Amino acid sequence: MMVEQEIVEVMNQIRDNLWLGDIRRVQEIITNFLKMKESAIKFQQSFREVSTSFRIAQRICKDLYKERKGLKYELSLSKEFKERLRESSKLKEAIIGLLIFDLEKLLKRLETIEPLCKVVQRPSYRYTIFEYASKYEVRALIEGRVECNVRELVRKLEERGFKLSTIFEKRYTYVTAFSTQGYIEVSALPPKVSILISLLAPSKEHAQELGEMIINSLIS
Amino acid sequence: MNAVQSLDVFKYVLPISLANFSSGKIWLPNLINDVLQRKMVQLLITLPLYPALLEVYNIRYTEKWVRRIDENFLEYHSGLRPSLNFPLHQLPRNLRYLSVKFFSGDVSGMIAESLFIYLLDYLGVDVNLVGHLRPYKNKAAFLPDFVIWDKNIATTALISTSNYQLPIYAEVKGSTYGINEQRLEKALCQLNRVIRTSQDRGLIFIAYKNPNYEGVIFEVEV
Repeated sequence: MMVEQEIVEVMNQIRDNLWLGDIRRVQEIITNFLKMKESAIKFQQSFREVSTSFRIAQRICKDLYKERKGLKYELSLSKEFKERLRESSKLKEAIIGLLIFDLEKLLKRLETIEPLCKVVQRPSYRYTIFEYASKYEVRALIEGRVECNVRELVRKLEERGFKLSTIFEKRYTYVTAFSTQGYIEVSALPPKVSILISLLAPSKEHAQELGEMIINSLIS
Repeated sequence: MNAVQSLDVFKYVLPISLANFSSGKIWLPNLINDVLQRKMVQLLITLPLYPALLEVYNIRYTEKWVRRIDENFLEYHSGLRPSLNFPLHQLPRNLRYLSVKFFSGDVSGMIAESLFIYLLDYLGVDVNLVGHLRPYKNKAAFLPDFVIWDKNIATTALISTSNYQLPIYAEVKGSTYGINEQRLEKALCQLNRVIRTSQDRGLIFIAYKNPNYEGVIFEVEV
């Protein structure tokens, strides 16, 4: 995999883990990536060069046009910028450099942030549970590539007395279920699974147990 | 809940040349008329719409944090704006109650970004290799909204040539009414900053209302 692809994948993994609330994993991902990349300085240097070229182009165009907007200004800015950017590869390197800068900044910010919630680790997934006034939200990230087993999920929920409505399209699964005990909304696009649970008799333990049952049957 | 409806995504058949755009040879109102009159466009795909799916893409790929974009989408899609009750006594002249709220440009932008990622995913592009650069635009104004680093894009109808190099740069615009000429112009200007060689390719995706949501893709070349 090219370094450009790797860093984009890492950025997306970080966004998923921030959504989950797993700050430690985010720190791990960034640290591992930055350790591997000895060429980080080269990319960051490219970002500085490209940024400087763009700023110079902006300054020149600002002198030419009073307002820093409009088609003429934009076309002139692009022309000046392109003229300064001699190598095409510099732009790609600058994108990587910018993302590396961002990773370093994020790592530093996370040093002072305490984990927001407990992350429960299971053999093939991790999840967190958020408690709101009248409902619970279970967020899970599945490890590895899986396809959702919707039939098993439907079977398990029906066993528990839920009435269901299901959508299954390619990799995406959306299930709503209701019974006398509550209402459940499952949205799964691997690796992400999001479960909203509203219970007539609120109980975090019950919501957690339902959440685990749903994820286990989805990935079975 | 079933798919609310479907979303037609069209592709403008000819790539837009940035050289022609820069020299004033492309008249954008004509191009927009072509799209609205279904001239020079082909139906690329009809996407089944699951608002809850947009929420998943929204969490990962959009710049601003708005929860329940699935619920927002239903109102934006139908065009029904929530109205408020207002007192019966008359207001001074030239004033009016803010009884009907306007749609938000931020939310419609996020809907467009989510729809774009949904389109890529549906067409088989590995969205893990799609980077969202919009959060960095303040720091690096030369960057477009997205970079696509997946070679699979060549197997989709989005790119019409095999002679291209990665990444593909993409700009996404959303509108709660028709296609806006200024937005298309802005998107072209943005791509004009990064598309330099004959192998560079860009995409512009616009989600607009006609009367419900539709999407159009423009391929952009140097």
